[in-house]
Amino acid sequence: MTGERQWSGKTDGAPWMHRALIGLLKVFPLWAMYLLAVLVVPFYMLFNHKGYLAIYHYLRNRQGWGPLKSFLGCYANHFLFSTSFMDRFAAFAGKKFQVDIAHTDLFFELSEKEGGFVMLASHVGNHEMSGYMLGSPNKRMNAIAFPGEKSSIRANRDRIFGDKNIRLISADGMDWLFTLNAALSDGEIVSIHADRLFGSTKFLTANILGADAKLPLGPFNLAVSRDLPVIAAFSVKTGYKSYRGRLVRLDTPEMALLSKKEKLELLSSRYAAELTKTLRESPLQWYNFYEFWD
Amino acid sequence: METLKQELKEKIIDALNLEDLTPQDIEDDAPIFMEGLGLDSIDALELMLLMEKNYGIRLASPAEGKQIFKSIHTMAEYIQANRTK
Repeated sequence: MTGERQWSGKTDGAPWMHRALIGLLKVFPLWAMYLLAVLVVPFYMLFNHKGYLAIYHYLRNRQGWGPLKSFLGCYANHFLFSTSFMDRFAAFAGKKFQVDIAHTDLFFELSEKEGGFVMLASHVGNHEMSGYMLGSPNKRMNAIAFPGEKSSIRANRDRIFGDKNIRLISADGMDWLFTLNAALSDGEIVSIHADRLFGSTKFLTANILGADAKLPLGPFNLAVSRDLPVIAAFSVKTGYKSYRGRLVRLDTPEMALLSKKEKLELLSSRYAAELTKTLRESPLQWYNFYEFWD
Repeated sequence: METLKQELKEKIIDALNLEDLTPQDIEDDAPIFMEGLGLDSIDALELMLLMEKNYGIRLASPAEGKQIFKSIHTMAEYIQANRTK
């Protein structure tokens, strides 16, 4: 199946702004930058109305909130997104966060075994924070970054994640596919977001929060074609400088008997169920700023 | 070489679920991506896997890969010269 509607965004801010933010975060406390976000968010909502409307529709239709609560929820969503964005730069600036992840044994167990595996991330909370806790000396993790991301963000991530045996691969053009293929052939880990269409228009339909949505075929196909284990990873902000994450194994031994199509459908529906669960628990931390549902 | 091309077309149709096509529909020199067979990034990864599983060829170099995946003809030529299976 192919779909026309897909994410076409980019990360905001010029490289000098990112460098300035890191510089400010080295001097000022993080809460001072959060205060700044309180003032900036209304302007952001006003000028980025497409993203604002997508979140409003999500809160109204998928979470079932009333108009006023949804409007206020949009503000809270954008504010939380800003704080997550700043947390990322605070980490670049050397600030420490408390990150608790449930079921890390799933990650380390697969890291000890032969062969690679796929980690499916999502645009809920801040997936990057779990990267500070995970990482294996035995197996390199290859995190796929969207091509719209600024090089300054990637350079900072490279600097921090280099120690954790994590490599960032930018999904630009066709070259990254060969890097990805070589990584999988070498039995490495691939971490990729599974809730945003980009690059290819092929999709799988899954029920998320009671309505059909398009999930990209690629991440699921990557695992199924190579018979690789799959872990879904979620990480949400729980407080000032604290995050909570969880890992869930999506593939099961019985799947070996299924056809490729059935495996794809099962994996995507299990991912959708876990994404639904996370969004029920943390409704304000959905950061896919486009009309995601059909 | 002709047998290999035929075999390759059959394997591509099977691997990429191109149920509407027969090997006769695929021209030897037509571009595989974009305007030719219209394949995309997901299909590219499937083709790399096909090369590795069936012919023992591991592709890691983008420059080399782009040349190999130009057409069925270039793929078959490369397989014939480099296959280990």
